[in-house]
Amino acid sequence: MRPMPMWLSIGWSRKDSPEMYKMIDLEKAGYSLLEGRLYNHDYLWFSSTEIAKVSSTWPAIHNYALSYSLSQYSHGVYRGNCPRYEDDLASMPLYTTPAISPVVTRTTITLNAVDDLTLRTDSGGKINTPNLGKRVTLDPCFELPQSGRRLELGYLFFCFVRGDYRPPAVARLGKKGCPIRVCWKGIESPQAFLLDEAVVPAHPVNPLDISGEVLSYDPIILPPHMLFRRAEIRGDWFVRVDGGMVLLPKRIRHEIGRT
Amino acid sequence: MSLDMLTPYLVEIARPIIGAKTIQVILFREVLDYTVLRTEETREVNTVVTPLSISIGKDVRRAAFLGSKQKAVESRELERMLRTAGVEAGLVELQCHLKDNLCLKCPRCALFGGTNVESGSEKIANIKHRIEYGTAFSLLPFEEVRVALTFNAINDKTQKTGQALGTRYAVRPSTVFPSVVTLKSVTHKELILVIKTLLSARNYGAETRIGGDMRNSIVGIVAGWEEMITPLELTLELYDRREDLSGDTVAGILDRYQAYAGNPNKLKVFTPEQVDLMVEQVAEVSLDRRFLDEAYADVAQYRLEQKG
Ligand SMILES: [Zn+2]
Repeated sequence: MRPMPMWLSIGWSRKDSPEMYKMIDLEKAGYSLLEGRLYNHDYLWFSSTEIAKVSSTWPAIHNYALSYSLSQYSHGVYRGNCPRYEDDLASMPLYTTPAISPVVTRTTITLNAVDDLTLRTDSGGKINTPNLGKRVTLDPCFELPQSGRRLELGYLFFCFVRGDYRPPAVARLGKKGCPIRVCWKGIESPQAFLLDEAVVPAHPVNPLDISGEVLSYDPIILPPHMLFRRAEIRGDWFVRVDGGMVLLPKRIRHEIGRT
Repeated sequence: MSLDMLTPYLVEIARPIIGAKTIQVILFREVLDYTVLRTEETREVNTVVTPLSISIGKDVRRAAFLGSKQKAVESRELERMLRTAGVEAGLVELQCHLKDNLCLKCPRCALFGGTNVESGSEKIANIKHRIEYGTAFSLLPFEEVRVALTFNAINDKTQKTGQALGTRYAVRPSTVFPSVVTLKSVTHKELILVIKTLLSARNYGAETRIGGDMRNSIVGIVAGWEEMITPLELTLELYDRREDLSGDTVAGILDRYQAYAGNPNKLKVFTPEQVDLMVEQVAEVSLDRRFLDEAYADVAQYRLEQKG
């Protein structure tokens, strides 16, 4: 991965008819591709905001969090608090891209956990929840569906679904289980191509999903790993969706390769 | 028994790995006294901008009743219920309280989740909650439900009020917050405990000195492999039907949302008559020794499974 300064990055793919010499028919490989538009119907908060500089956090959702949520994959923590991403993700029926929202507003919420014995919020204790704290959250977001008009708010992302799993339309997201509504749209006959030229995907990218060469990127720090809000990638696999490009994540391609 | 109709959406025993079985309990939370629902030190009522209704896109502000506030009160209510029932049944008194002394052995901890906070506790597993809340939004816009309260200082000697200290906003009695409590992979007994809790919880105020009295009415139940509706959608839908806030109205809305689900054939919307019967049956169940022994044994089994 060779990072280059932002000013070198170029907009959308330069040509409309890219040179293609390899192709994967996703449906034949047992996958469908969905476009999702996610609306948080409550204050959305990520643990990343416990770290300072909250207001600079992008309204972006990590694709691991989203994949857990939409797989309805949830379990009691066995030992400590360490998630086992690789084991978990491999067993999930879907994998998403990260999601981003074009417009959000924020609200600061003050928390105060009252201690039942002392009736105070400032009682000591070795705890991992704050007694009294502030949380900058992303405000609830709702878009009225209107016939003949495309949805444009919320968080846009793409979802690769294995087999006949049907992702839910309402799920929970984030540490506090914010209820979310997802409006799904199926992509017809998705085909992935290996493209030799530089492409900027229509969505943020998890660097771990890239197998090509990254020409430039614009990072967002978001636990558990960083995301690229915008990346220019060469020599990777993409699916064309409505004129935009969706990156075929490395893990999906490997899975298809195994079957 | 009507509750048996929910059996396909309940689990035999709660387990650390949570499945898709989901029950949504639809509530109207009705304010009985002037209530400050604040999240800020400014003591303002928390408000959120939303469309007026599901058909009218005009932006309005609505009072927000945070999910965390609902959860805090109801978690304590369940604890209180278990404590009282336990003492009455001759059990050892429950040693479990928020926030730093969760026992991780009682049905409250099993349902609401808990983190072990003892030092060097890294090897003791936590419990993931299986009850989900969401912020509830006032049915009517904030402008229509708010009242300005002036507050004064009272001189203890003269018992006369001094000068007015200021004004704060509260929501007025009869304000309705349509709300949803979601249960994931819960047992028959846990369902009973939750419904009993919802029916008996009353005081939700940010400051107990000023109101916070509310009444919960269970107006709908839907079950499936996912959640069907969010509290925000429920409020926006109900606004258009605000002249008829009934179980039938709620069931009608839920029926329509079935179509949007990922697995619509797994969803079941119960009729208002069925819901009323279920609530009645739950009210009749007594939290006797046998019920409690079995409920605690379930939690022990859960913990055993976590140890592997
Ligand atoms: Zn407990």
